[in-house]
Order: sequence, then structure tokens, then C-alpha cells
Amino acid sequence: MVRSNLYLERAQEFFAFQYDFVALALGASVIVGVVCGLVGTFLVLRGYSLVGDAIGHATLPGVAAAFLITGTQHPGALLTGALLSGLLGAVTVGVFSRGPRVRSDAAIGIVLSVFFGLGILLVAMIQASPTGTQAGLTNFLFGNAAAITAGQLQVLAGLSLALCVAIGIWFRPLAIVTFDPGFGRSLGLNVSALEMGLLAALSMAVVVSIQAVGVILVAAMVIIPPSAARFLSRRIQGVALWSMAIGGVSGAMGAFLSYLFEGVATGPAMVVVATGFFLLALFLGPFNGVLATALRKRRAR
Amino acid sequence: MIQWLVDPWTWGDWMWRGMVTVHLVAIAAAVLGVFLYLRRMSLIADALAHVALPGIVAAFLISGSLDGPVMLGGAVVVGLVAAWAIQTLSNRPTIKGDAAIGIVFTSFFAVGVILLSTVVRDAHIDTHCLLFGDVLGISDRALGLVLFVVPTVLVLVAIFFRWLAVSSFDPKFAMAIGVPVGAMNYGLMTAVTVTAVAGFEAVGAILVIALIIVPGATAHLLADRLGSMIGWAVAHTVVSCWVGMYVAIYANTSAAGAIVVVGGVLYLAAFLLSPRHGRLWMARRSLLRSRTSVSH
Amino acid sequence: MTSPAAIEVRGVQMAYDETVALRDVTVEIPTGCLVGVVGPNGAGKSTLIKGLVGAREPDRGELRFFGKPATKKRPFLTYVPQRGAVDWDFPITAEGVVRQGRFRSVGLLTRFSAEERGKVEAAMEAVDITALRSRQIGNLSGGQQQRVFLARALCQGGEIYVLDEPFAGVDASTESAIMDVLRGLRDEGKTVVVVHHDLSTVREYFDRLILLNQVVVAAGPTEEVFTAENLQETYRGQVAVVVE
Repeated sequence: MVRSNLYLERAQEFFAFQYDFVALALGASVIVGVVCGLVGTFLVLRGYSLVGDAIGHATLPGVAAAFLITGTQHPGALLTGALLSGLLGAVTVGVFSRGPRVRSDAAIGIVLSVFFGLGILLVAMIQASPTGTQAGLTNFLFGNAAAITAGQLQVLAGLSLALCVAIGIWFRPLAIVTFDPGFGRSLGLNVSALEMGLLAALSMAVVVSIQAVGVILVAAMVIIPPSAARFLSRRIQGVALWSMAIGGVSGAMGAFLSYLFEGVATGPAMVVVATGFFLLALFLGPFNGVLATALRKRRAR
Repeated sequence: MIQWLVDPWTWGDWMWRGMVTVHLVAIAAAVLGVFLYLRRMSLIADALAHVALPGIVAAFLISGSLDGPVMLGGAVVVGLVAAWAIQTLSNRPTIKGDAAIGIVFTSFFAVGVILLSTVVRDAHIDTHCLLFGDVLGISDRALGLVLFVVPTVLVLVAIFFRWLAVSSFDPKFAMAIGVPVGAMNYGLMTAVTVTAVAGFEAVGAILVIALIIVPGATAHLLADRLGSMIGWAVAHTVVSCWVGMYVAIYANTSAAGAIVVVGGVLYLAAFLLSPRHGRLWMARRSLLRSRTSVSH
Repeated sequence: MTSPAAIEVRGVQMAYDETVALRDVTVEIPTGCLVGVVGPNGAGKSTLIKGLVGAREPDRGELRFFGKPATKKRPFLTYVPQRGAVDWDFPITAEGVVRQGRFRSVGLLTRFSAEERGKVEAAMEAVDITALRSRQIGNLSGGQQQRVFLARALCQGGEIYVLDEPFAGVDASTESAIMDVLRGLRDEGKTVVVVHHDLSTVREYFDRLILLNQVVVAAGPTEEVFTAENLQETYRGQVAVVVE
């Protein structure tokens, strides 16, 4: 009884926005869900889902290196570091996937684990140094939306808006390249530039997201909402919109649950909510959903 | 120099415990990794290593114990469930294989992390250690687990070597000559899960992936036969372990991180400098070719 | 003919999701002949092969080998895959591939006996690849690669040989060497089924022919089946057919 009262109280606190950090956390989580949902749509359709995972893990050494170099926790420096090492990770996956005696799936695994290992190595060095104990870098592993300040949120919102506008402008060419690169080339589109742009957008989305979801699980927010959305629409615009909606709602509910249950980090909470939506879409979705397929088979008989 | 190499061994028995554990785990991971790499299952290994975490937590929730067999059992059961889920999802027309892997392991992993930080918070599970490992603080339990698991895995691989080889190379042919291809597949996945669990305390859930994927990938750039590829993979991982350990000790940093970074550097070296497939030589050859064609 | 047919296909239907690859296919292949399977892309040739080697069960219909209903295990059947289906980066030598042909009889741990080694050698000699034995398979030419897989099949033995486009991307001397080996097998009383693309060599190569385009358009001795009308029907105007 006491316990449920506690949860009720916390829920009231959350929705009353009694504390500033609640509103900030909610804002950041929704932004993450929407941006990752949008970028993820192209990635999942293109078959690059796990490149998102590699880039997510690859941002950690950048964050740690930026801290080591500047000696501060200035968010601008950390995010720049994350962006640079995320991009380096994406390029490295490409380099390690071409030519004889390589496997593109292994290239993803190599970049993911080695960059992450470098990140862990740097984080351990920071923690061993006298100034480093308060670096709060562990927040980057699983995300802590509650630690985001108003200034950071403004930066994240600005970057996300720019990213969404850019994708909106290049929506058609991106859609063509995602669906059929050969056709794109025949139309005179610069396919490799568009693909690089897509990977850059992914790195950007990951960087915007890591404070709220963390580097380990950011891939989930890129992969799961678009995968759910594919059961809800047949057109790429529809998939993108559904994916952004599912991502945004998952972000909001994740932030709420993380506030409600002490000790639950924001990232895992968002991922679990998104997985719930995915399962709903998988079973009930009108396009190739389990129920729809079963009904159609029955009618065919 | 010699002093510098010998000293750590005199500082306490953690050094040899760490060395023995990490070497055994790394060798088993490298050998299994060769087969997984060749079967293009590197990312399944990634998924299984992640999924072992919720497996251990689930086993603890049900049994209340953290004994070796319980942990292994939980991880294997949850790992096989995850493998089945990946297979089932990727059979649906709108979900690609890589997306299926990504959906399944991230959601399982998220559940594991949440359980670790809430329901089982009071148990003696060291989250940080499970995720990132602690090579220099190996417990008796972890050492015992590794001493049991690794020889078993290696003996099984030796016994089934021909079947593993032929089913990795040409599964249709393997099926035709009566090799139980499905059993080999699931056996390999079980072995990976078991090795990952045994390695958690030493190198952690996430970095064990590097020990599985990187040695095989390096060896593929150097070897023309399966036997020599396994030899190269083991050599790669042993060198990584030694260099990484000393780097970690003298730079006062994470041993698992250092081992993985050394392994990555060795992969890069093989990628650029491998005698036959090194990209540096390939670039030089194509440069020479274009020069001669210009001069003609 | 008194002995039962090597292969009987009765009313077999096979489909992927909603596209039908084979529809009500019924055909008989007598023992000891060299048969070509010919048809345009998407005619279901690969699907038929999959059914024969047991990689896929037919959705409907029945397969019989030597008069007995097909079971899952078909030790009498030897399959040579399409070259494109092989992982040429795999760390294995030419000899390593051929030795796989003996894996069934040597089992898991026993060493290759002198007799087994002799069979491997004989198979490599039959297709003239002994000099290439320690080359990694990716370092062989297309023709040499095809010979390696034929050697594995010879080494494996069997009563029925199924080859999926063995002449694709292969030089002329390899093509005639492969044909010599296949004729040799036929003369020993084996049954050889070849998926084939090149209409100009059909008459020269095969005793019997199966023209396939989702259904069996025609099947029987080559000289009876290989007519302009049958080919027009098989290819439905996709190629201009000239039969002199």
C-alpha cells in the first residue's frame, strides 16, 4: 500500500512538472525518439540497422577523449568528440567492408567492439585520475535524461530541428537511394554522397541521443520504431511518420517510467516501451502483421 | 626490461589468475569466432553475448543462486530463445535479418539492465563487472567456471571439426552427406553463449564480442586453410592478451579495454600489411598499373 | 526397360510465398542416361534441383528414386552446386574441397586411410587438378573451380549426379573435360542430370531433355524433344530460336 502511494505521488509530481528537470528530461527523450525514428526509417529500409549499433558504441571514445583533452564536462566539447568518433566509426565500417577477405557483418562487429574497448580504456583512465571521478561519464553508457540542463536541451533541440529539416529537403532522393540505389544512379543522383549523408545524419542522431539513452542502447531507438512502423504503412512517408510517433511516445513514456521507478535508467526504459509498441504492431499491424496474415490465409482457403 | 615484465607476477596471485582466465576465455572465443566469422554469424555472436546478461539475471531471479551451472543454464536457455526469436522475426517479409538481430538483442539487454538495477539490486551481482569485466580481480568461482567450460568447448570443437568445417563451407553439401547441420548451428551458438558467460567476469559482456570477432577476422586476412586460420586467430588473441595486460597494468587502466584495443590494432595491421591481401600492397599495385597504362 | 526409373517426379508443385515456381510437374528420368534440364530464367530449374537434392520439400506431389518414395536421406545422390553459390574466400584448398567428398565414409575422427587417399587422388586426376591441390580455391580460375567441385562429386560417388549450370563462366577446354567425365559416368550406368543454358550444345551433349517453364513443356529423347515448336513454347518468344 505504502509503495503504491509512493508511485502515485511520483506520477503526480511528474505530470505537475514540479521540478524543472522533469520537463527537460521529457523534452530530451521525446526529441530522441522522434529524431532516431526518422533517421532509422532510411537505415532499416536500406539494411544498415546494425551500423547504427556500431556508431552508437563508437561515440564513447570520442566523449572520453574530449574530456581528457579539454578537462571539462562542457557538453559542446563532449558532443563534438562523440560526433567525430561516430563518423570515424561509420567510415571505418565502410573501409573494412570492401575488397577480399573481409565480411561486412564482421566489420560492424569489429568497429563496435574495438571502439567501445577504446572508450572503456579511456574512461578507466579518467576515473583513475584525481579530477576524473566526478566526470559522470557513466551517464553516457545507459543515459540519464534527468541530468540534462536547459542549455543542453536547447542545443539538442536546435540540432534535431536542423537534422529533420535537412532530411525533409532531401526526402525524395533519400527514399529512392534507400529503395533502389541502381535506379538512383540512373537518375543521376550522387548515390555515394547520399549514403555518406545518411551515415552522417545517423551519427548526428546518435550524438543528440546519447545523453538520454546512452551509447549501448541508442541503436534500439534507431531500429525498433521503424521496424514497428513497417507493419502500419506501405508508403515510406507513412513509415517515417509512424516511426517518429512511436519513437516520440516511447521516449515520453520511458522518461516517465524512469522517474517512477528509482534506479531505472532512461535508455532501457525507452527501449522496453518501444519493444512493446513493436510487439503490438507485429501482431495487430494491417500490413503483414501476424493477425492480418492469418486472416488472409484463411480467406484464401 | 626483464624486471619490468616479471614484476607484476610478484605483486600477488591476481596476476596469474587474471592471465590464466583471460587466456582461456580468449582462446575459446577465438576458435569459435573463426567458425562464426566464416558463417557470417559475427553479429549473432554479438547478440548472444548481450543476451547472456538477461539470461543470468533471469536464472538468478528464479533460483536465487549465482552458481556456475545456474548461470550457464539461464544464459543458454535465454540465448536459444533469442536465436529462435531472431529467426522467426527475420522470416517475416518486412523485417530484414539485421533488423531482427537489432530488435531482439537490444530489447533483451534493456530488460536485463532494468532488472539488474531494480529487482536484483540487492543481490551480489556487480553490474559494472558483468558489463566491463575485471581481469585483475578474478574470483575463485569465475576461475573454476573457466577451467571447466573452456577445455570442454575446445574438445568438442576438435571432435566435431570436420562437421563444423564442411557445414560452414557448404551447408547444402553437408546436409546431403548426412551432417546434422542444424545441430552444428545450435551447438555453436550454445558454445558461444557458454564461453561468453564464462568470460563475463574477466572481460565483461560487451568486450567478449571483440574476443569472438576480431581474431577470426584478422586470421582470415592471413590464412589459406582452416587449420592455419585457427592458428593465426589463437596467436592473435594470445599476443593481444599479453600486450594488453601489461599496457593495462602500467597505464593503470581497464585490462579488458586494453586487450581489445591491442587486438583492433593488430587487425588494422593485418588489413594493411597482410602479404597477399594487405590493402597497402593492393593500392600500390593498382597505382603501378595505372602509371604503366598512362605511359603507354 | 525393366529396371525402375532413377528419378520419378509425380505432380510436384513448389511455391515461394505467393509465386508458383513449379506447377504439376510430372517427369521420369531412366537410369543410366545423361539428361539436360533447359528453360528460361525463372522457369523453376533451381527449384526442381532443390526438390531433387532434398533442400526443399515439394508442397504437393511425390518424388521417387529407383522406384522407392524419397526419404530425407539420399546417399545415392551427389550434387554439384552452382559456382555462384560458393564462398570463394573460404580458407580451404582445392584438395581440402575434394577430401570433403569422403567425409561421410571417414566419419569424424578417423584418419584418411591409404585407400581413402587413393580415391581423393583418383578424383583429382580424373579432372586434371593434381597440380593445383594446395591452392586456396579463390585463387583458381572459373574452370579450375568447377573441376574442383566435380572432383568432390566423383570422390563422393553415388548413383545420381545433379549439376547446376556446370558450364557457366567456364573455358572451352574445361567444358569438354567436364563433358568427358559426365559421359564416362553415364557409361558406367550412372544417371546424370544437368541444368543447362546454352541451346547450341544441347543436341551434342544430352541423351534426353526436359524443357521446363513452370510446367514440363516436353520431355524425352533429345532428337524428339528438341524442336522449334517446343522451344518457342518453352521460351515464349524470349529468344529467337533457330533449329536447323
